[in-house]
Amino acid sequence: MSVLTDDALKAMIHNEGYLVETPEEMTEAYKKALIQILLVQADTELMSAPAYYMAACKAPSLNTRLSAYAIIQDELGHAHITFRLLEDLGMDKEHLIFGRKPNEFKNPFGFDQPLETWVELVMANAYFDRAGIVLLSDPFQNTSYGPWKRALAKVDKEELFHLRHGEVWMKRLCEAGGKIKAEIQRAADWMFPMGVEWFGMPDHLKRHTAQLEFKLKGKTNDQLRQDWLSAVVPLSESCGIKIPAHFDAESGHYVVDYHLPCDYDASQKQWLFDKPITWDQVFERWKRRGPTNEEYVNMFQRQYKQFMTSFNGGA
Amino acid sequence: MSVATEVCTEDRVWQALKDVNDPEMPISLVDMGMVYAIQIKNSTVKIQLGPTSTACPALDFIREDIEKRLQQENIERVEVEWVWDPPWTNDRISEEGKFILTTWGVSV
Amino acid sequence: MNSQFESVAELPKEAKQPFYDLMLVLADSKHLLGLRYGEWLGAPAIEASISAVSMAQDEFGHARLFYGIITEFVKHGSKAREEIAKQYRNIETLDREFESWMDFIAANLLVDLALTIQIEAFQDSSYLPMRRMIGKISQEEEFHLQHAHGWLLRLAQESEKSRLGLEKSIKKIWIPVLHWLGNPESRSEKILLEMGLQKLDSEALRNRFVEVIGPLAEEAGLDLPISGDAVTGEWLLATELSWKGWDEAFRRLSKTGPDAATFAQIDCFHTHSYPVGS
Repeated sequence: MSVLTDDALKAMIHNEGYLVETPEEMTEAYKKALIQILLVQADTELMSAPAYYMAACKAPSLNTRLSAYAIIQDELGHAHITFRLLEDLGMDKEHLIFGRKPNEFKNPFGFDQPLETWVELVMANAYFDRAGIVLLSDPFQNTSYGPWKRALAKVDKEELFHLRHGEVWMKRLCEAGGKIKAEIQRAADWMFPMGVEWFGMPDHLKRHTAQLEFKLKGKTNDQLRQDWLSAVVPLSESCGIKIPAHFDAESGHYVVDYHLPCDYDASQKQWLFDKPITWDQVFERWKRRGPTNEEYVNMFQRQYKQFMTSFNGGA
Repeated sequence: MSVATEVCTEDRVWQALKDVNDPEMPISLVDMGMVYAIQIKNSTVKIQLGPTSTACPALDFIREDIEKRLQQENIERVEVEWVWDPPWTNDRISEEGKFILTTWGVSV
Repeated sequence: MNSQFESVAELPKEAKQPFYDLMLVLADSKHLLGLRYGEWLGAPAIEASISAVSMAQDEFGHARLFYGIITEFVKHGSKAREEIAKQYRNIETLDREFESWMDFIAANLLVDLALTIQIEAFQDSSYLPMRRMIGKISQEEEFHLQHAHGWLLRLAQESEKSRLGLEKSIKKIWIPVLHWLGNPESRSEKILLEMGLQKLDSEALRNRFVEVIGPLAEEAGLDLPISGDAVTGEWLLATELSWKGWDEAFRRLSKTGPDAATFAQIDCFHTHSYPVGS
């Protein structure tokens, strides 16, 4: 552990562009914040795989199934890279993947939801992977943790492929019009607000966090949400998909046209815009987890448990 | 005949393809060693490409990217043919490509 | 001296049906093997999950090449797409999901190897497009065999329980895999050999299979119906095959086909309304 104080480390990072390379250079608080942010990334990558797999089972052709599997493999690879980083920080990779309970995974609420059709997979690529890119290109450019920064170079490029896949398909399906475009609209109706909420509490309600102070990331929640909106809103509009947000020329910002946050009926995949709630209530909903949380985690853990008990005489 | 045919040479197509990256790698198709042959016949540019794997999910993207880049050269008629013989291997990556991949954390 | 063929249209009339049957058996088997691999997203280690999904893609990639040849048959009007969709011709052992990681590794070794051996019998085939594509397929399959080999040793050495479990999984699919490599009495095989489309007969393919499996089984200490040893280098199959009820167009005894859950995934290809192109 570093002999520096937190303040001294923060000063070095902010003033000298200091990159932390090993656990020996970290303070306790730095390490704690780093583990927290890495775990969110690792779990998000990991849980996107079963979500995408669920939709890949509905792929409309061999070529589309191939693309879906390629994306799933990338996500697993990214999870693997990130769990390895956590391992370097003294965490037990095997326990993290196979030993935790479903509700202990830190993935966003969006990947606790079933992706039930090819359209939903495409939209997840277009909206959720865009969220992933926004969230990861920030540390790629700004993070003070060297090993993470370098690992993100590959991750970033591969996520761009997923995004392109999503956007190309979104456009193609919207051009088809009719029922197919209506299906895209339906997916956007629940997935767009999911993306908005993904970035968490607005800045005016949130204190500066250790993650920003240690420059594990460089941008605030609102800045990241703006980055996401500035890509997703024009994309949706160009496809003729209606979304509850617009560009406000006066402030120069994208604004959402409903009370953020609001309630969500997961069983119907429907946002209840007329039921505003508080962020504390959002966190409670996230904690209660979405409908497929257990199913997705079980997809990973079931065989490991069976394997360990039936062949080694106990887990 | 269009103007393009008069100025369109294989060399120019090779040069242009150096600007087209593999959709999943920060390396051009040329440095990846994927471009097997370029032929120009009757104002059509025929490009033979060796995909890195039979499962390559980005074949459509590669084709589109090539077409888009060649349009900038006023080349409109492009045929991309996927060839498997000889199979693409890592050895086909150029020295420069290998260097980029190494800095990128991929072993070749 | 055989003639050589550049397309389905050039094939002699009597060779068309046998060649079509074989291409479809290969395409459907590769497709389903890919699905089965993909179902192991949750393998017992994340590295294994990545390998499973990666191998699944290879299988899909190979299936795509064989379906490409089938598409030619459709284009030339000799086969209808609907007919193809109805009769799924995968190797029998892939009808349903693998029950355990042992089953996965058994199939990774036996089924994948059998398919590769059949494909490598097209080396120097008179069907030229095939000749050109098998090099890439073989190259990709090298990793599958390495993967199977690595896990075979690991499971066999882990504990007696796991070695016996693996043996059981292998024996469960042993006969269908050997059957799949073909019946030397079959009329189609004779035609394929006569036309030089396939260069090795099914007995030779089974010998190749045993030559690869024999040393691996010995190394892992598995008791399989193979005689011979590493010293003499001769490996012989100690299994009698009965061909009663074997269907040469499907290369299997029972024509039950994939289970309902699997069919649901294949059916998506025909029941959707998305503009997916060819």
